[in-house]
Amino acid sequence: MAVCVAVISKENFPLFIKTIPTENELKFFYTVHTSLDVVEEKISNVGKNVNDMRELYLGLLYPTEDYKVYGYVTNTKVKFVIVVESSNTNLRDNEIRGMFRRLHNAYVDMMCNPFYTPGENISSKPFERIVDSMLVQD
Amino acid sequence: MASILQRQKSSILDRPLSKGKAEVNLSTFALLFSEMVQYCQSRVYTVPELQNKLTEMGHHVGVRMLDILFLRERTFKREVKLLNMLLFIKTNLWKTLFGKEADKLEHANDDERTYYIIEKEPLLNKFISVPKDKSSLNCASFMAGIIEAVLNGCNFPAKVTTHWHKGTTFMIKFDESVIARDKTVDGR
Repeated sequence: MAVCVAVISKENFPLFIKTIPTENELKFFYTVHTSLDVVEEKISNVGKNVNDMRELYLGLLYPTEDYKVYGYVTNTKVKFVIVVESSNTNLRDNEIRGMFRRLHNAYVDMMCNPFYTPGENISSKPFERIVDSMLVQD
Repeated sequence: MASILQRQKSSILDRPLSKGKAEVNLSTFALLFSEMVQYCQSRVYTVPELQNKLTEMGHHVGVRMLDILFLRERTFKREVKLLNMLLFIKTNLWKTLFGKEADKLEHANDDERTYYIIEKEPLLNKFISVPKDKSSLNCASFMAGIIEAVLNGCNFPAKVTTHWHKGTTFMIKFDESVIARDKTVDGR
């Protein structure tokens, strides 16, 4: 399914990035980093319909030659970015949405841990397990 | 692939809490809260310092409540309007924390940045009798911390203070930028 999952904090520093394959990590870091501008643009859009602005799921941020980048912003301005391969055509918008929901659920589960300080890097095992389940190829 | 996604059952976070289970024994909570107040008191010298310390503790609760409440009750929507956000605090947040809505939400007549949430008898203060020499102390500052963290987390920077007025009043003073932004957002 996905090749890269990233969680980025409110202040735009990465909290968690995991990629498959791991040897090309840096490339995905760049991709995720560039996507932040698009996210910023989408959520600060003034004069848009209120109901559009309330949607957490931002949809396709931008396609590159090999990958498609999808974005999601929680109400606390934590950003989730999922990168999928363009060749993977059987991933519909709804499925991406479902993945983000699962990611959001996992994030909140992790957030409710009293020993986690907001803004720290995410090292939670259950969270990582959920991300892993999204990364596996089928 | 589709079958994998379908098989995934809706997780417990997707459903609202069942009403019966959400309750905590009041005495237990009162004991915990009294210990928290004592802990804070042993580390400060003045009343404002004590209130600040309680507010700070509230922040920790607030940031966590915010995320989970939005996930459970707002069905993946963001709140962008100021008034809706305040109503969310007055109803949803208060209900989750105290099992009832806040008594009143008011807007200051003379200042558009200021809002009041009024609670006649806050649950937090139920078993607290304020000593005579510290009459300005209001332990509901803890609640102010929760409100502040929720508002700040949602990008409505605000300062929340606690006052003795018609019971307990939480005074919410928003940042200039919040009011300016709210005017540019149209619609309901």
